[in-house]
Amino acid sequence: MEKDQPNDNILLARRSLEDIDGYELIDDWQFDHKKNKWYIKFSLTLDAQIEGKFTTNWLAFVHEKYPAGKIKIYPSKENGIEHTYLHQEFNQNTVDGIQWRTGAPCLEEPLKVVGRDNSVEEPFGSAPGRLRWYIERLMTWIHLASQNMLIPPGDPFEVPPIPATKLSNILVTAEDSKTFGFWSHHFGKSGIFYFTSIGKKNNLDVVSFFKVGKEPLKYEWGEKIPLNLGNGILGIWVLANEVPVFSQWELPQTFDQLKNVLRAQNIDLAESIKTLADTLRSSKNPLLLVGFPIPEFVGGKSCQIHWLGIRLPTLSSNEAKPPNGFRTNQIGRWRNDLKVLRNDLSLRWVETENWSLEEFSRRSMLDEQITSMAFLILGAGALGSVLVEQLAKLGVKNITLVDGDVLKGGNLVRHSLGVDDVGEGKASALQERVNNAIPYASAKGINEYFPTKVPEDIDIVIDCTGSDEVLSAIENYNWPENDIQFYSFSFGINLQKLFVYKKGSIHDFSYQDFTTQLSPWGEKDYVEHPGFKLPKEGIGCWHPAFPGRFDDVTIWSGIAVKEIEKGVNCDAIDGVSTYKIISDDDGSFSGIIKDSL
Amino acid sequence: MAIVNSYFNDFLSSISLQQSHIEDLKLGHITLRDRLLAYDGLKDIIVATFLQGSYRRATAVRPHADNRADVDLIVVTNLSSDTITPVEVVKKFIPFLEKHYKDKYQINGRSIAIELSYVDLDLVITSAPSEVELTSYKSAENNLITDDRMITEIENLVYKASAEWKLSPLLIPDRDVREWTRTHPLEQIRWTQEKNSRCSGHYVNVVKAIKWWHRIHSEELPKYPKSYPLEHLIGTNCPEMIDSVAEGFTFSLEAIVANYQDTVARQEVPFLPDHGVPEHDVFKRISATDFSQFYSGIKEAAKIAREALDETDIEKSVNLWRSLLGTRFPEYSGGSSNKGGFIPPSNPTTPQRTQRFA
Repeated sequence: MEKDQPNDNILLARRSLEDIDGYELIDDWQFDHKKNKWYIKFSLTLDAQIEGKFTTNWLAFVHEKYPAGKIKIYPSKENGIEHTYLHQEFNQNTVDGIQWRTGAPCLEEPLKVVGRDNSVEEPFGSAPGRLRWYIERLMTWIHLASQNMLIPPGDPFEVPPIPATKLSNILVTAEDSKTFGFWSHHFGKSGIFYFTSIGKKNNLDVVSFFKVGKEPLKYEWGEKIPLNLGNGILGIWVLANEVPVFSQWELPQTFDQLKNVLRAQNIDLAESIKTLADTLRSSKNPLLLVGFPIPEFVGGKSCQIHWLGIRLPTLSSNEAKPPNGFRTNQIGRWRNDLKVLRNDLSLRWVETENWSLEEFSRRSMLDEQITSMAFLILGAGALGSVLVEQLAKLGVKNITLVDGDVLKGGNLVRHSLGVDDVGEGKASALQERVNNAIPYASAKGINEYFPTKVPEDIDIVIDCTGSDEVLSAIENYNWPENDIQFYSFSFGINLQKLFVYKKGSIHDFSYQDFTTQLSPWGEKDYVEHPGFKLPKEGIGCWHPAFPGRFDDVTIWSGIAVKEIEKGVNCDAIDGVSTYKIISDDDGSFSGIIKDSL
Repeated sequence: MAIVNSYFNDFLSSISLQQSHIEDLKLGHITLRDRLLAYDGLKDIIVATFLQGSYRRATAVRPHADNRADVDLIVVTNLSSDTITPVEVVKKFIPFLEKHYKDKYQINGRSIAIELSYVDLDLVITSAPSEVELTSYKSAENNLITDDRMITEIENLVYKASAEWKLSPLLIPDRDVREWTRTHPLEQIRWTQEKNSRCSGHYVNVVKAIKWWHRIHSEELPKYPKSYPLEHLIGTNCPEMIDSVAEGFTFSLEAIVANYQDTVARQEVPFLPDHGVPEHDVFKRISATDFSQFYSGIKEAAKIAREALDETDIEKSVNLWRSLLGTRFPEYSGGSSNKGGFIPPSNPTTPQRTQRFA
């Protein structure tokens, strides 16, 4: 269906470009049905001191509902830029019939910007202003690109973009400052590595182990990513000395280009593959990892290895007949390999992500002092299920979870587990959920009630059972001799209160102490809720259930985390504290305060 | 010189026929043609039908708010000018009109006007001048000349259909003078198409813009020349070396001013031979007084257009164009942020304003 006319804002946007120096409209708005966007074609002429005047053509795409929606500007195929520069998507050619190349410069906020021109901020919502803002930035970008000044020292370093790929796989590594120390002795070398494919679509290729001469490098993954050295999948790694790009910031697109770029760094890629090829013969489309050191900031010292993945063509099998004149030996097989590792072989780049804990921690996690502790969580009910996941997401790796309950439908209203888990042991089902929550978690679920045998190397015990029977069992349990902190969290009526009980050493814990300290709070809670009776779990059931909402569970779980953090970070922690939700006169939520007797 | 091409683009789309007008026109002329070809008393004498008029030439501007768009339908008949009089020809169509368009038609000198609620149709009955021409028109049906589309929608029309375009003029029964007169609507279409491509596609837009200028200033201008005669005058004077509608507009007006200075001084009206029928003067009915007054208006407009064209400040230029072309010409909207250029990088990037994360 033909789109009739762009909206008035789109027309206005384009009119307001007319007085940008050097701008000229080539083709007026047209609708692209594939992108579902309107686009104009225009040229920009810059007068650079060195090169003189030069003109480049571009296509700007806007959303039908402009000034809302994203704005993207692509180089035109005709008289557009052909290389890839910094702050730009990989600038690939496109199929016939498409007028643009793929290399859209990154012009928008936040951060991934050329925004250091101290110019005005993006005028969201302004029809005359927004497109104009992009095109003025584009002019700046072109100018800086032409002067090789796109990033001044001190700017965040940006790895080169990979060419668009049809592969949906993501290659996962875990590089940080520690592994960088290891790699710093191995620039220019190559070897094999192991990876495991995980994910719902089996599309995450997670590297677990590098063979580097005799000393290996093993990533510290959690339970989700097994090491699998026996039957894991193999690939080849090559560690370059610097970013393997040519002409500005462009990754090689053919095998030949890659060889040349690496040869310039005194690395013989073909030789590296040849040496290791025999280990890869059973792998379908083996992975080649090309690594290089990167700094955090432009001009700074390198501090991390970045790996890029390439899917190679499947190498010849051991049985394949070598070309005439060659024997069935390594040389003969390599001759066969060269038929697929052609110079003009188009490289299939794989997207990579660095999942190191150091990278994850940039988004903020708990201190290593806590995350390195081994947790024992007793009770996998509402509070336990949320708390255990929060701890894992915050970086706690070693978690043992004990609960003999089986998940029931009624639990779903305030438990982190879901419909598929009904009928399963809460502890084992949570083990799976927590290990999936983050690749560093090593959670273990024990589908039994405490007391039961728990691991010896425990640093901290958290009671989330709300059960006096368990507290009594804790007192009587034969805990290992080492220091073990103890926390017990429980809720008041209607989940309006959280009771926190802490003991610096579990060896000093007594059930008597607990009841002595907590009973005045319990009494106060009952006084504040006269006539309170536990409702039945359901119609036709004698068993009582305590009322309370999931949103309150998550609030209290968050506070429990902060109490644990506070406890671990200071010495004298013994005691009880209570938090309560306060409400306005009409009963609506007003805040949370520490309660007093 | 300020470039205001996109202002012109938006102005032109706001004065061109809207999709709804075009749908109305199509419905009107297709219904009329289908009825003609199905009508027992007529279907045997109709050889071909095709469209003409400003709609077909893509020079139509939007009708006034309470007016309808109009389209001309040419009907080529096998009635011979030797055996039948113009009055008799029209008579043959009356039963048809009575049946389908009762109380909605009016017989004019050279055509039959049909006024429907949504569209005005002009039915032009013609006769092919010879048997050979008759055959050619017949074979040309279903070909490009009978195409409904505007010429700007058809690429290389001239070349593709060149055989058909070589047809001779048709004969029109003129009731007022009671004789057959020559007409060549196809040549007008062909001429316009060719002119438009020689003017890099700007010509039809120049015509529309000047027609619109004429409408905006109708109070200060004489009623005539307008519509086709005005278009013809523009066509005769519009230079081909134009890079934009703004240039075409200005240069055309300036050419008119230069070319007819003497004519006006002599209190005369120029002779403008029709395309395809050169003995016809398109300006035959224009009076010298009207032309002189019209000429003054053009002269004044040419001055402002030149000023607008040469102005380097876009805002000023846009305001001048608005004084010529009215409020459909968009208001100035640029200059929102810093003017062009760039500031070289100084400091590393720092996050700005509210950095929210999700």
